[in-house]
Amino acid sequence: MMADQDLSFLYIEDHPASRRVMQLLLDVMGYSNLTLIEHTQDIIAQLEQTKKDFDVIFLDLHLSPLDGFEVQKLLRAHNRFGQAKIVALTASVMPNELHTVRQNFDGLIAKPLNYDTFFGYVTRILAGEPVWETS
Amino acid sequence: MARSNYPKYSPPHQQINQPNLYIIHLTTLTHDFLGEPYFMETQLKNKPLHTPQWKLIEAIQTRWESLTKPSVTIDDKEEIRRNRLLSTMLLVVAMVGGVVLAQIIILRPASLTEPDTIFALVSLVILFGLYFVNRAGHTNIAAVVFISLTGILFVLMPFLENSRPTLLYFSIVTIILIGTFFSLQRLIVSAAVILVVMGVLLQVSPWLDSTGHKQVIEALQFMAFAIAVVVTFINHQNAVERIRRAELEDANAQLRESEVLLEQRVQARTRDLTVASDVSRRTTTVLEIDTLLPQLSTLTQQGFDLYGVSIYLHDPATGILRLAAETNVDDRTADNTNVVIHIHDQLGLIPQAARKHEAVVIGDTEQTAVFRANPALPATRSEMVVPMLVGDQLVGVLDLQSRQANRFSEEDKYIITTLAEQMAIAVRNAQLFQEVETARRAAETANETKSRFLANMSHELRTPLNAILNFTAFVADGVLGDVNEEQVEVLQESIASGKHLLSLINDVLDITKIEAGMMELFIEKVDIHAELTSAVSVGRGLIKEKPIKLLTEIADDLPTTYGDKRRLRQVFLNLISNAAKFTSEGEITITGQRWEDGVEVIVKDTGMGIAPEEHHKVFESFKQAKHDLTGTVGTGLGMPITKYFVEMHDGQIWFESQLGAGTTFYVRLPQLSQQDAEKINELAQMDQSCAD
Repeated sequence: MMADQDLSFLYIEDHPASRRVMQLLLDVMGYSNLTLIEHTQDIIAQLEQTKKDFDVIFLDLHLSPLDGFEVQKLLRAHNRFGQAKIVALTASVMPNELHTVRQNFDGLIAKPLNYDTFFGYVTRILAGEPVWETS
Repeated sequence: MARSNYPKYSPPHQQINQPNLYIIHLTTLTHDFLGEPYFMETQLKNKPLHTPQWKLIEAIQTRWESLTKPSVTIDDKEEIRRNRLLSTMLLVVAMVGGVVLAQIIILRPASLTEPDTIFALVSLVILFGLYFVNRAGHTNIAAVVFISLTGILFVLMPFLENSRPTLLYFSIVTIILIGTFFSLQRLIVSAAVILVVMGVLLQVSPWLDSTGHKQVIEALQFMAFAIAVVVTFINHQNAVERIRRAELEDANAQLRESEVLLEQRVQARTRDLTVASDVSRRTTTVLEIDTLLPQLSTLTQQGFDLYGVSIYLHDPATGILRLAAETNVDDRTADNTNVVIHIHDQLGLIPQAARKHEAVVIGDTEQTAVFRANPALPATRSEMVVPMLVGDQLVGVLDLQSRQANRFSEEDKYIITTLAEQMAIAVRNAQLFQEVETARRAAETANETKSRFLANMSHELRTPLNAILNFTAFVADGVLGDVNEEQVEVLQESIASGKHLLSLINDVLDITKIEAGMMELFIEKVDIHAELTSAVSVGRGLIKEKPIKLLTEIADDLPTTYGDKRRLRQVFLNLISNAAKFTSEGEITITGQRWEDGVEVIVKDTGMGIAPEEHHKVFESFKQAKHDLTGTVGTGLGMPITKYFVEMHDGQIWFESQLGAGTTFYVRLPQLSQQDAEKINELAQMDQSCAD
């Protein structure tokens, strides 16, 4: 896809290698506006400190101390962050988790991320089409 | 004697004021042969007993009774009556005859040598003989002989020269018969009158010998005899009827008594059955043993109105009987919570009943040393302990205590034993339910563990692959600096291996989810054409290194249906990749066509084929058919997973194969509405959770 240079991304992920993968993926596609967050302690305060708005928020589900679902609720309730597309990035295959994701998130992309398909999914999500790619 | 007899028998409906009865019951002496104290008691009720006359009668009656009673035991009541009647007749005739004869002999000793007197004496001896024969129980013999002799005498009488003894004889019989069936007073009066008249006639009157007078007297005698016979007959009939009536009334009274008893027993039985049916109901409705036992003990205590009821449960491993529930009449509670009795304890009924497997009872606790008092029940007077058995297995014992001595009858024992059996079944059911419940919880826990494992595995295995696959791709694509051709080749190989590993992990996760009953479909509208085409394009990538031609015949008008889009794509992809895997050269033909409302997808390859003996393994987990020719490896999970998803869409899958000539897989999927698809999914979920 053609990169929209103004898009602002946020990725909350505790696994360093996964953060690095995201950074490289976006680099390759020409996006530089990526904010990385490692843990969810005082998550809203952390985000407000960045003084940024986000177009797309990628959320790992297995986070601490708050997990991805709790963080999603906080974000969705937030007047600024709530406007973003919130996408779960997960290696989970648990039906109950996937159900909850479908009910609350704008999309789901399974880990490992596929270099070839990832941006196709992101584009669809940005266009308002939900994507549920569980594996 | 009469007084002492009084309470023993008292017909409730005596017609004491009936005149005919009154006549009869005055003649206590003679009607006694009827063997009925009934009349006597009527007499007692009507007249005070302390008159001298009565005392005399009583004394005579006592003696008389012993004289006329048969010396052997006769069972038949009627036979006794007849026997005593005959004894009475014989004795009275003989005695009175003896007195008269003695009088004649004393007055005129010369008469001893006269044939009539000798004849009379011989008759007397025969009468006494008959009396003893009769008392020995031979009523019929004595009666026949007596009647025969009387008849012979009657026939011979006119031919006898001197008819005086005969006259006497008939006079006596007349007196006796009159007396026997009328009254004592009449007996005495008529005996006196007749004796005097006869005595005068015989001894004093000189004209007696004239034939005319003789005939007159004989006619009189005959008449008296005839009257006596008729009166005897009538009285006999009356007496028989009265006896029958008395017996009937007696029977009626007994019937009424037994009706009352029966009613009481029916009431008691109804109560018992109510308790029993309550217990049965609890058996089927209450499965929590902690709820069940107090209900059973309370039910029994109230149902049978007892002082206290306890239930002890038996632990076969230790032989211990532990108090499990207790109900007291006034809710007294002693510290009984840890009451433990061992089955081999010597004291008390509980271990005894438990050992013997039968009910044991103490009728009165004050009369026995075996009683072991329950501190909560200080006033216990009787106790019954019944084992609770299922077959010959001791489940526990039921301990019943009452403040009333001898509270527990044989019938109670029987009922409570039956009740205890039902309780035993109830308790056993509850125990089994608890075991099953425990097992179920264990299985649930195991399932939770399984799903936690699954969650962790999927996360822990796939997260590292995210880094491995993507970093390798970045390097291979030169994102992190220049790479030469050889490096790119090796890195691509590495990516392919990583992807293969990922697909294996995904298969294992899928089959684990399926087997744990956690596989869920996301039902949405599915364009079969699009999914099949998408799978074909992925398939093309799989065979691009091989000399295989991929042919497609996909109709444009394939229907849309409802199902899980990704899983259907996975089905098609599995079929294609399976064909690709086992085909080294030749063709793979993919056909998509309408089948009834739905779709039929056929994937035909020219690969190695599957040996007939391997056919049954194709859809079994972890059982990939042998394929040594190519050395192709896999988890053997692809086809079982494919079959599962096809069936989750109400479809069918099968194949035809010839070793060496290739394999054709067929999948038929019906067109499903959203409701149908969701229903199938729900049903499958239910089946799986039941199968767990």
